[in-house]
Amino acid sequence: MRYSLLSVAFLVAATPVAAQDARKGEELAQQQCAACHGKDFVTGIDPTYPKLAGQYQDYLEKVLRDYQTGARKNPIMNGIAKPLTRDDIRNVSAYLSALPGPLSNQTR
Amino acid sequence: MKLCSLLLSAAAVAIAQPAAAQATKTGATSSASSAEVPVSMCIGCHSIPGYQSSFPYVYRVPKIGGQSQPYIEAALKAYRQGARNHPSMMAVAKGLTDQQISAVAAYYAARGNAAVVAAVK
Repeated sequence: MRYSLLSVAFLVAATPVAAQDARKGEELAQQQCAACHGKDFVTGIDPTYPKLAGQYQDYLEKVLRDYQTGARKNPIMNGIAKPLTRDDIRNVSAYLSALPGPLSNQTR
Repeated sequence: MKLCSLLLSAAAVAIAQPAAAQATKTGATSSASSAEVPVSMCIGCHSIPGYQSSFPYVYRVPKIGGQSQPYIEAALKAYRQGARNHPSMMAVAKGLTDQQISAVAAYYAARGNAAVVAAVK
């Protein structure tokens, strides 16, 4: 019993880095996304470009995966999403979802 | 599965149509303010914080309150044409006129998180 608890503790301690890295996400977002979606990810250069700040992380990941596979088509976004790794997608989505912005689902 | 969800969403749209006629007009600030705002089709997914959808990839449906009006319009038109692919959104968008699309978009664009909007400005 004591051993199994110990090994659980060891596993937990050994795996933290794999999860997500919002700082890497910030770097990537500022390099790849900010030029069109805005440095604050609220005021993009074109009003048809969506606001990303505060959007759900899992939705952003889904969208990027869809752009990567071509399930969703947009010439610019397909090109940007293509070279991203799974970690890139997770990191950048984690960063964007944590930013303050006007997006809300309290709309009733 | 796909067919099943298509049928389901088609049914949902059919049920939602009459209710849309009574939908509130408040919030439609654009030129389309005279049109009905059929948001009854949207709120069941987009106004429930954290609501998850879309087997087999489960993710939270996006927040659309406070999104820009032109983006929401473009998204709905892409769903209507089939350029963007999501069973329930395609079914919903197919039933909308251009006027209704801009009314819905204006409605949601005006419903951002007010405190955050003020702080950002």
